[in-house]
Amino acid sequence: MAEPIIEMKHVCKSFSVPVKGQQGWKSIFYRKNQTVDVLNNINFSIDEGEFIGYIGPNGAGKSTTIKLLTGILYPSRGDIRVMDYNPHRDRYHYTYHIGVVFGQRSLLEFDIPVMDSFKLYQAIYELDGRLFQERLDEFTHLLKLDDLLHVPVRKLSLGQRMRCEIAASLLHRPKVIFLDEPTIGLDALSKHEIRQFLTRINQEEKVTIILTTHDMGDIEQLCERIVFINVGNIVYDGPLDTLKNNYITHKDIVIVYEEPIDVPDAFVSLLKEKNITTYTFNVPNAEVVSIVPALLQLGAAYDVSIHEPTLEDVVKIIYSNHIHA
Amino acid sequence: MKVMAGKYLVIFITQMKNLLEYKINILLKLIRPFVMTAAVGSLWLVLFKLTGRDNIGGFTRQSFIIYLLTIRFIAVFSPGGASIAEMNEEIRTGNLAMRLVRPAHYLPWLLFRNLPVPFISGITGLILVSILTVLLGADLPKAGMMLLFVCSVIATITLQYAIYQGIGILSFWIYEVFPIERFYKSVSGLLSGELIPLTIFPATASEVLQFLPFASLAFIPGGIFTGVFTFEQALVRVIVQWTWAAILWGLVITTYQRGLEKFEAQGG
Ligand SMILES: Nc1ncnc2c1ncn2[C@@H]1O[C@H](COP(=O)(O)OP(=O)(O)O)[C@@H](O)[C@H]1O
Ligand SMILES: [Mg+2]
Repeated sequence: MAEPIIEMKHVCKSFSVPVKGQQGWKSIFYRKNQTVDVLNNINFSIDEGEFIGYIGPNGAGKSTTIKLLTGILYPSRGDIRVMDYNPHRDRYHYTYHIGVVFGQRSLLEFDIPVMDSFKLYQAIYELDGRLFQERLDEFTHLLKLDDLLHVPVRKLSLGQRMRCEIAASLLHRPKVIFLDEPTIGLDALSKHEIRQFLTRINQEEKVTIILTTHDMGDIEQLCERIVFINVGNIVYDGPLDTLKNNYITHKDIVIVYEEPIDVPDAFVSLLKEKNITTYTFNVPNAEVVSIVPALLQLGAAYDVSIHEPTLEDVVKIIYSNHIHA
Repeated sequence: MKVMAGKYLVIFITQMKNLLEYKINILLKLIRPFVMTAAVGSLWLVLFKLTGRDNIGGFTRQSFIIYLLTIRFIAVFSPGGASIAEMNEEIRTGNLAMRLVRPAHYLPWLLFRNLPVPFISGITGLILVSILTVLLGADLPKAGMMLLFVCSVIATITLQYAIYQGIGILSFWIYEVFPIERFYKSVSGLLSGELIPLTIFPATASEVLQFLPFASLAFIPGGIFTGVFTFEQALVRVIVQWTWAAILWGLVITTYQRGLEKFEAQGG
């Protein structure tokens, strides 16, 4: 098997923060600091062409990981290797080969047309004119940029701007792309367009992508593998399906009866919710098929539906388990 | 190497386009040096009148106005407080991260982003020089002295950039650097010779002041242009200027590298 393209080994990161409650003149010249550990022993390796969903609750350490991987921060301990680079030490040369998008920050020049920013990055990445034009045409088509290129960035909507940001970060054909919450605040259509675009460059160009997001739709549509981080520790790393199967052990059976029914003792423990004549039973996966007919015997029914928890629900469960663990 | 230079040139051009979006700002920048000269100049003319002297600190009325104009001409090349504000903002908000993930070095990036302002103000500079030579009929320094003057002006600009970037870099450690900028401005207003030529101070004080970095910002080039110094004196002072410029740039670069290690890219 080929070498992984990204490797993090025993990576720890701590920050030093001032101890609270220091006041007075002395604190101008001398401040007591304490260290907070933000990442504890992070290990993973990623192969070329993978599309990784890097998820976890707010403050878990996702952005910190991305900043380490992009060379903005240096690890307090451990080793990071991406391609043949040590991101922090080789930052300058390394940055020619990666693309970085932070959903909450902009790299476009605010006051001038998008195209001027693209030209700026063409120069910064030292892109050949013809290759640049080809790439630009491709992106203009895929991300629907025609009408945006000559508009000053400040006049763009968030969705329009994010499409331009993504284009600007990928004009130089990076081999690895880091996206930190690129879909934050976007409407369904913009999200859809961005997802389509990412799928395409991942599949056609074998670009390796690491995506952090709180949108489980992003994850379900884009990522086969997810890495789940919580309070600085990786709590799950594996296929999306396995995660679902591990946590999706029950389904909801919702039945609307014509009139209220008496729930027999055998089913009382399954009853999750009752709303006039609508009854929700929470049933283990394996028993769904045998229990549905029995439930339908309990009274005349209008309607029946079976619901599987969404990834969103799963993630909620994991977040709450680990936070309160 | 060619491409390397190219990227910073495009940074310059892009920033120029940014600036042109704010035409009123540019207009005011062009006018400001004249207002400053008029303000300081009229104070001094009043002083000449009140004292009834026609030579103060080795300056005549005319040479004094020429001195002031020369200093204004040099001051238009200063990157200005906006460059500190931009740096402070990028470091404080963590937006500097967006520059660190591109293959361009931050300090030259900033440098070239800051150049368009002085470039535009250079037009004002040219007008000032024309006033000097044509209207006031100033005696231009002789060739050798003129060469020293040019070296001196370049040293001043180099030094100014070091100071402004240096104050900006303090943002890695200090949340608000603007009080420091204001403090620096008032001290240098007094000690650089921007408002008062240093020859007005008592001889020893004046001598000491001339070797501090502040004098390099105004008095030395202004003095060279107006013939305050002999050739040897001027040469020594230009060397002092370049020494300060080298020291300060050394400091700026090492401080920046220290800062980067401390940089935490907050937010996002
Ligand atoms: N520069 C910093 N100094 C101190 N603490 C920080 C700093 N940056 C991040 N943190 C803390 O580290 C934790 C992880 O932050 P982050 O990586 O941004 O989380 P996420 O992106 O997963 O929401 C948070 O608790 C945050 O407060
Ligand atoms: Mg984050």
